[in-house]
Amino acid sequence: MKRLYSEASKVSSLPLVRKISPSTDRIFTEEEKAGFLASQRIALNAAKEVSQLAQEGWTEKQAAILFDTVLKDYGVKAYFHFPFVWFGDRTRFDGVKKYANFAPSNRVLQPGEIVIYDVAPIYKGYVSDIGYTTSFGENPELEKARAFLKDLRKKIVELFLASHKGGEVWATIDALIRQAGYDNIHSKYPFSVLGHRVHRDLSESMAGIKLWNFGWQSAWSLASRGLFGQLLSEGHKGSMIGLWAVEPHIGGKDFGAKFEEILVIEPDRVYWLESEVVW
Amino acid sequence: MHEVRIESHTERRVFRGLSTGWLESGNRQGPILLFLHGFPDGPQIWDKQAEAFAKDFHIVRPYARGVYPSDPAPNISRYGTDGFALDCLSILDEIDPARSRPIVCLGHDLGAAHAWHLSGLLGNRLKALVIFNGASLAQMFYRYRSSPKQLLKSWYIAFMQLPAVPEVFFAAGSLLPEVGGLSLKKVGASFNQYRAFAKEFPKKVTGIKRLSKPTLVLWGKADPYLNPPTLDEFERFASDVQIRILEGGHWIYVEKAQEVNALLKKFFDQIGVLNEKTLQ
Repeated sequence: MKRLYSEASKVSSLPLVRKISPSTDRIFTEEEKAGFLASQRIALNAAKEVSQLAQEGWTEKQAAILFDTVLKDYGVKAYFHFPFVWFGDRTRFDGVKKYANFAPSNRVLQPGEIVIYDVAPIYKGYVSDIGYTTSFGENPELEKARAFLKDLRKKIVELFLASHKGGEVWATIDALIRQAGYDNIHSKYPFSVLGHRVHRDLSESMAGIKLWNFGWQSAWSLASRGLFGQLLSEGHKGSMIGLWAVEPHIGGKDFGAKFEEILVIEPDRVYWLESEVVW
Repeated sequence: MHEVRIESHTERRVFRGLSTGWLESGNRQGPILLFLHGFPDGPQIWDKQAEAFAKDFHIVRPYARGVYPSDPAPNISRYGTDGFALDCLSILDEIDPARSRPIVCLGHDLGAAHAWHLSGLLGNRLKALVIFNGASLAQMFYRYRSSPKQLLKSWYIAFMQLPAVPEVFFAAGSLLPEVGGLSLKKVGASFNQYRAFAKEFPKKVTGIKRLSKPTLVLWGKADPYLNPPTLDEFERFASDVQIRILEGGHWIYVEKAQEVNALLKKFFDQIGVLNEKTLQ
């Protein structure tokens, strides 16, 4: 890991790399924020649309393919990461032991199951990353989880206003989740990320090149900027100014639930790019 | 069987920026018969079946992507089985938002490939599948591997992959009333389905789940494009299948409409679809 960080830092400090991948540790203009918001809204609308079309018996793979088809209808040509869809207990990553296990599987959708749709499209160069949790039929556990996540959403803004230190906020969110009786499922993500920076001017070319469901653009855009500063992980240090896709993911007995949206962190202001809760 | 002339009307909706059209007729409370036409046809090719079953069934006949009034797709992949499945799912949710009525999917030619794929996405809403002179992508892959004769019969699929040539051919053809008995005017951009299928092929031919719903195959024996099927072949793809090979050609349901309609009625009675007007 230290080696990886060291190599990423070397790459990101090269002058040409800095020119191609400028720092995102800054205040974004209103026009830029509108571009990110458009990308996020398309992603979330597509998730809702495919969830409404879902039928009993679909596999995660089938759902992910149709999710991709809907997104392409809306003009998405490339991805930071391709669609993930998880059903039932896979929403809390039970049985996930390696990166490849996160990918959509042949798991079949059953009535009443919780479903997470997660995608990070690149739309006109702007990356967004959304997580949308729903259920296929009524599920009272999801309603409770959603209520908690809505409170957490408000709390995240308060925490970042009080402290711009990413590692501290990560630890507080972790404690809040556990106090509420849930498991911290985002700690199972690569690098245990609670979130990551989002970038603009990402290429939409060679869109089919991917590794573990991530487009080549994600590896480049993160590594070319030093990698770890781009990730809101437990040990995050450094500036938090900029735009972040924040994704608290909680786990109940046999399910997981999350939301993921872009958070704007400026020196005097912290706010969600989408002001109202739309999930 | 009493054939009643029923008026169809064209419905058109914009789903995700793409205009999608279908013909609708029949009994709006009945089980749904979803007819998927092939190439180079339009949904009117099913008129004799639409008339025959209008009294008891809700008849829905989508226009393939690229056949007016269904818009051409923004990219080739969108003509494939996933894109058209999305269109059909959107149409079905439009006409049966409660998802309470059973569906029988019927497909011919390229429409058969679409019908196979859609059947895997309808869950318990699917009551049965009916195939006329057509096959799924997985089944075509099986045929190409096992029959050089089938490979040769499919020469036109290679023609459709050429850049620009099919576009010029079909544009020129649309100026003529008929070419070889076919009207090319209504083809639109739908020949791109062949290109989309070629792109999808590697991903759609292995790991396919066998369909467990009742499947009826009606096949015109003298088909210049497709070898006659065998039970052994179809049973690789469906566990409850029956095949009837009829005297006739590729468009058997037009040539022998009365005979085909009688077989369809018998099949519908056998599976009891009319006893199940709403899903449990």
